[in-house]
Amino acid sequence: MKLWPLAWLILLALGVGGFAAVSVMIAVKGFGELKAILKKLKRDEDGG
Amino acid sequence: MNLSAVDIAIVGAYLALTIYSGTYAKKYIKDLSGFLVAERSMGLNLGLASLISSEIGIITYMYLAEAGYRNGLAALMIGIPFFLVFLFLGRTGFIIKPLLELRIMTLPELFERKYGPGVRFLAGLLMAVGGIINFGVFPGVEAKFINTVTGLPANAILWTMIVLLAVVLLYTALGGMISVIFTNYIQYILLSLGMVFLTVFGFFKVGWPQIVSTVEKTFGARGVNPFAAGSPFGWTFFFWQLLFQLSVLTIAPYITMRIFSAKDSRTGTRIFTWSSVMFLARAVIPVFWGVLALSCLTVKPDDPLQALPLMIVQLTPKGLLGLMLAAFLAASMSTYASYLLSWSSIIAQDLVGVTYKRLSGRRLDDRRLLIVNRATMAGIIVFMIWWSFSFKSEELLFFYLLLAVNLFLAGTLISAVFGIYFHDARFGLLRGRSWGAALAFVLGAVPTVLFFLPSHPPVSRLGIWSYALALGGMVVGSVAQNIFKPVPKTGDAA
Repeated sequence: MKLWPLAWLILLALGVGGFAAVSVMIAVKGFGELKAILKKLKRDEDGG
Repeated sequence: MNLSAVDIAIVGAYLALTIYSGTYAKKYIKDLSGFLVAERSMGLNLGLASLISSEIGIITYMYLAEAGYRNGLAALMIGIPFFLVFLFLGRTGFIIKPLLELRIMTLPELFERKYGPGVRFLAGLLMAVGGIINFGVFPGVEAKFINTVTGLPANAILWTMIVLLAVVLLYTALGGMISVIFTNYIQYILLSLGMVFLTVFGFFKVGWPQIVSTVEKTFGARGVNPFAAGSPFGWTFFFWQLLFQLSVLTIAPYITMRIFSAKDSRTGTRIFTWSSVMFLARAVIPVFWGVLALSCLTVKPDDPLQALPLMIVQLTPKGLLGLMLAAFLAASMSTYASYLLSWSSIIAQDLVGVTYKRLSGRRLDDRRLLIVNRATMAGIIVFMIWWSFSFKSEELLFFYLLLAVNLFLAGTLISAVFGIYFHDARFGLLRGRSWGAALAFVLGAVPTVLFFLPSHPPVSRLGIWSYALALGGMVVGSVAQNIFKPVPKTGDAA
């Protein structure tokens, strides 16, 4: 394969692969953070 | 109509969930800090979800896909400066760290502390004008997308956009940043699924050899090599984009509000490091869709902006179109919510707030600032509907959007750097002062004004000029003020 198309293919694979991997992390860990914020807001509301 | 009953049900369920989660946050909003920066409670993962989903909308897909459709694989170059600048900021904390440590809510606040209220007002004014003429084209461009994907008649689109904007206004104006964080999470899950699906599915359906050969046949060498003659993505573009992205990522209010919402400065800089990969993908995925459209559309549309929605209708299997549309609407609504919040807060705090204080001698209280914020959001929506349907340009939409925010970016970056790093007596005549900051803002805005003339120099050159002029203005103005109005030994340096 010629140099430029190969370079773009690698960039595309890095972009899509990285995006998919970080998205899984955000989906799992973000849910935990969302629950923590809700808990904090509820506690603040109850406390005053 | 291209949507089946299942598709419509999916879109309806998504809209209902968005309104519910957004308005649910309302009861937790107690003051302006809760409204604007969510009590600084955001962690790394929600911060990333919020930043990315607010920075990806149908408009992002449309302008980047247009760049790919009209320029081929060489347009993938657009993603590289994003990656490099995010990584640099995340690793060094340049500008970001001092801003986080100052605990401010909008960037013009920094200018008031460093240069006085006049510069704050000028910065706020240019930010509001540049930001709103950039934001103002979103509904019109997105209407084209929704029109094509759904198959709705053109006269129904205006009402579709009005309903969408009204939903966003409802939950943003009521719940502020907390509702934006809630809804951004849901929106992020949907949009990331949609983006990965369309890219992988399209890649295997069309095939890489077919994509490369179409690009080479259509554009020749400049379709794959960004440095070939005739390509708009050469070195000038690359260096301008490094400066431009450095400015956007450190000072654009829709980005900084996300970072100011982080729970500490370490979380803020980590969001930047992780975002390097995400923003690379944010650029390369839609550009690739544009190239994909070029390769798979048998009938080429007259308007290049239509290429992406036409390709989605052609490629997406029946039954998945509703999910894709919900994903794309999700992406857009989070962008609208975030931009509305940031531009209205600039107008309320930096224009109305500063003017009120100057005229009355008193600070506008938080309750009134919130009312101004919400009224401004409604005003911006009315302007957007008018501007987006009356705006016309022959340039790449990507370039229009860049040049619109360029109105304030160069002046803001140079003033922020001099305000943070060159603001004490050690720098002698080069010490950043208010005359320099004002001149940096005014001169940095000139190339954007030139862009709106019927005939103008190449866009990348205009972009580079902005930074050169802003830097020149800062140096000349500051040196002049340090000579003619030196800082008293115990006084402040405004």
